[in-house]
Amino acid sequence: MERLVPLTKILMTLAVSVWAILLRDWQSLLVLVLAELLVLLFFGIFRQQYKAIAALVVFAVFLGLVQYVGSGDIPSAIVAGLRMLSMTTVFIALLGTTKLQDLTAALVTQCKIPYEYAFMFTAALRFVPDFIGESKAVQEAQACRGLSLEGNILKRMKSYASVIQPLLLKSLGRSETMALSLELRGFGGKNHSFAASVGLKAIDYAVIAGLVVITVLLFV
Amino acid sequence: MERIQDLVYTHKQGGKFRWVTVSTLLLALGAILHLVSPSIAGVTPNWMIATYCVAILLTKPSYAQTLGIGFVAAFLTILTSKSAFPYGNLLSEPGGALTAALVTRAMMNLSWKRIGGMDITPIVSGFLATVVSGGIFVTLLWQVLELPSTVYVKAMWPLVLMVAGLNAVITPVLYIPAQKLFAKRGMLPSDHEGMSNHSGLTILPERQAKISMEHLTYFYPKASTPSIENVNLDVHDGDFLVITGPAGSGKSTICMAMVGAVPKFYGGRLEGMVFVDGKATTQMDIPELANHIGVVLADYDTQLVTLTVREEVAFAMENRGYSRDVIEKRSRDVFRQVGLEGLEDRKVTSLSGGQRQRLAIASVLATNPSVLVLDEPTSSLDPDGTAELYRLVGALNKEHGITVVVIDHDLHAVLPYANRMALMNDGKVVCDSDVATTLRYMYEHNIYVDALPSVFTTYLELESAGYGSAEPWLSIESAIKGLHYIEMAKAIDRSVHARTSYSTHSVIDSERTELGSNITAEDSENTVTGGGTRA
Amino acid sequence: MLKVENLRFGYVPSVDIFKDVNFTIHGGEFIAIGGKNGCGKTTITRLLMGLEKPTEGRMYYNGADITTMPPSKRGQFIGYVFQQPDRQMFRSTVAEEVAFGPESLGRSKEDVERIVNDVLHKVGISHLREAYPPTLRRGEKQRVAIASALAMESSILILDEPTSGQDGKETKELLALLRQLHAEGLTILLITHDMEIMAAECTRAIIMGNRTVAFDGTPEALFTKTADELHDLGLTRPPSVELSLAVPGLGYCKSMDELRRKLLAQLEG
Repeated sequence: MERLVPLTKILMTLAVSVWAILLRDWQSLLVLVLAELLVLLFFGIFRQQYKAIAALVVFAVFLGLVQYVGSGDIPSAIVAGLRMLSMTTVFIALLGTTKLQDLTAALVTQCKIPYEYAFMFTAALRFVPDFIGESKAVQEAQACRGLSLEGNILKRMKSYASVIQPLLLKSLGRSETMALSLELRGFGGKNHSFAASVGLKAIDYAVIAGLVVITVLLFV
Repeated sequence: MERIQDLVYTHKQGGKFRWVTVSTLLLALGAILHLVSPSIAGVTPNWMIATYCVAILLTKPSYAQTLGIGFVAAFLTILTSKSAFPYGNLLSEPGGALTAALVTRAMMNLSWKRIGGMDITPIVSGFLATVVSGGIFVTLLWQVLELPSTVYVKAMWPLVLMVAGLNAVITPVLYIPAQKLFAKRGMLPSDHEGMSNHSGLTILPERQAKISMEHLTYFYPKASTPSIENVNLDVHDGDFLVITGPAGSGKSTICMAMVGAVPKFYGGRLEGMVFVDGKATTQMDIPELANHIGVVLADYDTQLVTLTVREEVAFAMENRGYSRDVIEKRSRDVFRQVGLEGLEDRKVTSLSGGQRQRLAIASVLATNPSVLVLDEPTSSLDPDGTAELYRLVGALNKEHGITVVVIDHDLHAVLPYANRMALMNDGKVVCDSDVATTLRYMYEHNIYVDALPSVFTTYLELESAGYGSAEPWLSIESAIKGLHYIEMAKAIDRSVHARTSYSTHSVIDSERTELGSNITAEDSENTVTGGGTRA
Repeated sequence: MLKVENLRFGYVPSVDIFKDVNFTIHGGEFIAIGGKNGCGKTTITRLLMGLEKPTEGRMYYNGADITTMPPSKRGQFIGYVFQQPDRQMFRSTVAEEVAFGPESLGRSKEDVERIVNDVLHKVGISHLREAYPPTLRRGEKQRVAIASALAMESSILILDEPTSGQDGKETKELLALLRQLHAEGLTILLITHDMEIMAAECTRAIIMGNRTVAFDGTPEALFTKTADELHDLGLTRPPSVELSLAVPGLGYCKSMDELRRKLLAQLEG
C-alpha cells in the first residue's frame, strides 16, 4: 500500500465501490468488508479511525433496519448495510494511507482537476485548527465574563451564535491577506510543478491490471 | 520618456483570487461549525451548504468555478465529517453550489427580491441549494442501496426539507454581516474605474539603487488625502534599513509599494514611481516583483496557506514551475538558513508563533529574492522571540548578503543590526540617516519619542544636562562606556578646578576631549570583562 | 486573599508543567509573573481563573475553597485579559462588548448601564462606545479588553502580556492606566517578559522555572541576583539596573528615570 502511488489507490477505491454494487449476495459483501477492515488494521488506520468506523457501522445497521422495515426482507437489509459500509470504509483506507499533498498532486496531474480546487481543499484543512482555536478563545473569554454553559438550550444557542459572527468576520478579514499572499507567491501560474512524485511504477500497473480483471470477472 | 513627477497609475482593488480565498476560508468555517453545531430536535442545519452559498453570493464566481467550489465542499465533508455515502456528496455538493449560483444570477435583476427592505436572495438560495443538494444525495442513496420507496418519500424527503428550512435561516444570518463588511471595505465585485497601463512607456529612474521610490504619492481607493506624499527613499544593496514612525504615518504603505501590492492589490492611485533594479514596478506584475523582493506580511500567520511546513516552502516554487530537484535543494538550503531543520513534516498549525514567522521567512526566501521586507514582524512576538528574529534577519543580511527592510515600532531589538533608519511622519519621510542621527532627530523634533529606547533617551537627556558621551548609547555596552566617560570627565573637571582656579573653559574642554579618547580605549577593556560576568 | 497550595498541573498526566506551587496574593499587590517560554506562567493564571483544572492542590479565595469553581463564577472576583485582545471580542459595539460581563452576572439594566459608563470612562475610551471592536487600533482594543474585565467589578485583574505588540506610546499609556487602577486599590497580576516593566512597575515578582516557583520576592531582590542565576531563570537585568551597577555608589535603580535623577544628583553634588 505504501509503495503504491495515489492514482492507483484512487482507482482501487473506485473499483471496490463498483464491486460493492455488482456483488448482490451478503456473503461476498461481508468478505469485501472484512478484507477492507483487515487492510485498515494492517496499516494502523483502524486505531486512529475506530470512532468514525463505529459511527459508520451504526449507520449501516440503521440503514439495514430501514430496509427491513420497508421490505421485510432480512438478506436485502444486510446487503444494504454491508454495501454502504464497504463503499465508505474504502474511502477511510484511501485517505488514511495517502499523504494529502500526494493526493492533490495526483488529482491535479493525473486526474486533471484544476490546481485551484486542489489547493482550496488543502488550504481549508490548514485553517480548520486555527478556527477551532479561535472559537475556543471566544468561549473562554465568555466563560471568564460570567457566561455559564450549564444553562438551557436557548442560552447555549445564543452563545453559539455569538461565537459564529466574530469567527465569520475574522475569516473574511483574513481572506484579503491570504489573497495577497497567493499573488505574491505566483499562485495560478501556467506551469505548475509538484515536489511530490506520483508517477506510476511497475507495481502500480500490475495492481491496476488486477483491478480491471476482477471487475470484468464480476461483471460477467 | 516621462517626467516621474507626472506619472499617474490607477488600479482596481483586490486581486484575482478573492473568490478562492473567501471560499476556502468559508468552507473551513463550515467544516468546523458542522462539528460543533447544536441541533434542534436532532436536526442540524447543513453549515457547509450555507457557507458556500455565502461565498457564492459574495464573490459571484463563474459557473465552472462554482462547480469547483462544490467539489471542494464535497471533499471536505468526506474528510472532516466521515460522510456515510461519499459518492453522494461528490454529486450533491456541486449540484447545490450550482443552484446557489443560478439563484444568485437569476435574482440579481428581479424587482421583488426585497421584502420589507431585506434582500431575500440568501434565503432563497440557502433553501433551494439545500433542497437540490439534499435531494441528489438521498436519491442516490435510495437508488444505490436499493432502499424502499416509502422510506425515500416519507422519511428522507421530509428530512431534506427540514434541513433546507434551517438553512434558509442560517444563510442570511451568515450573509448579512459578511455583506456589510464587504461593502464597507469595497470588496464587493463591481465595475471599476479605469485602470492604467504603463506597458508602452519608457520610464527610467532618476537614481541608481536596488529600490528607489521617486516622488511617490499614494491614495487608497476613495481616499481624499494621500497616505504617503512625495516620498523619496532609496534602498541600496546590502542595506539593513529600518522604517519607523507613529501609527498611520504610512510606513506599511511604503512596504506594500515596494512589493507592488500598492497599487496593484490595494487599488487606488499612485503618483511618481517605485523602481526595483531600475525597472518601474507598474510594468511588472506582483509575482514577477516577488522574485526580486520577498515580503513577510504583518499577519504572517495568514500568509501561510498549506498544511505542512515542507509544502509551504515548496509552494511558491511549485507555482513558478521549478523542477523537483531544484525544489528539494532550495528547500534544504532555506530550512538550514532559518533554522527549521527537522520540522519539515510538521503541520503548520502545530508550530509556535516564532516558528511560524521563521517559516514565512523561509517560504519567501525559497525563490531567492535579493531583498527581504518585513512588515511589523515583532508585533506578536515576546522580547525573546523578537531578539531571536532579529538575530536571524541580521545573519541573513551579514552572511547571506540579503538586503533587509524592516518596518517596526519596537526599535530596541533591531538597533544592533540596522545601518540606516528612516522616520515617517504624516505620510512623509522626515529623516533618513544612520541610526543614531535618526533617533536624535526623533528626540529633538518630538516625533514618536515614546518609541525611543529608554537607554538612548537617557543619553540625550544627560547630554542636554551638560553630560555628553563620546558615542551614542545604542546598546547597554555603549551606555556603560558613556557613563564611565561622563564620570571620568566629571572627576577630571573637579581636579582641574581644584588645581587651577584661574583656568579657562577652553583649556578644560580641550583637555576633556583628549582624555576622553583615552578613556574610551581603556573602557572597552572594562566592557569586555563586564560582558564576561554577564555571560 | 488568593492562596494556592501545592498546585500541580500537566496537560498530559505523566508530564508536569509544574508542581509544588505555593503562594498567597494579598490585596493591593502589583505582581509580575515571569519566566522562560513554556515555564507555565500563562498556565498558572489559567488555573487561577479556572480555565484549567489542577491535577493536585487547592486554591482559596478569602479562605473559601474555590478549587472546583468554574470560571464563570470566579469572574466575580478575578478579571482576565487574554494575550491577544482581538481573540476575546465577539460583540458588535464596544459598549455591548463591555456590557457582556455584568449582563451574564444578571445585573439590572440600570446597573449595567452605570458600570459600562464607569469603566469606559476609567480606561479613557468613552468616545469609542459605539465603535466596532475589530476596527479599533491595537492600543484601543487592549483598552476594550481591560474595560471588559473591569466591568466584572472584580478585585483582582490578571493581564497576559498586555504590552506585547504595542508600540512605545501605547505601552506607556497602558502602564499609566495600570498604575492608576492599582492606586485605586485593584490587585494586579501581570504576566510579562519585559524586564523594564517588571522592575519599574511591580511590587513583587513571581518567577516560574524548573517546573515550580523559582523565585518569589521583590524585583530588587530578583535583579540583584548574579547574571548567571538570572540567565537560568530566563531573565536579564533591565538596562537601568545594569547601568546602575556600572556606576559606583549610585545604588539600585528600578527605572531609567530614577537612574537619570540619581546620576545627575551624584554628578552635581
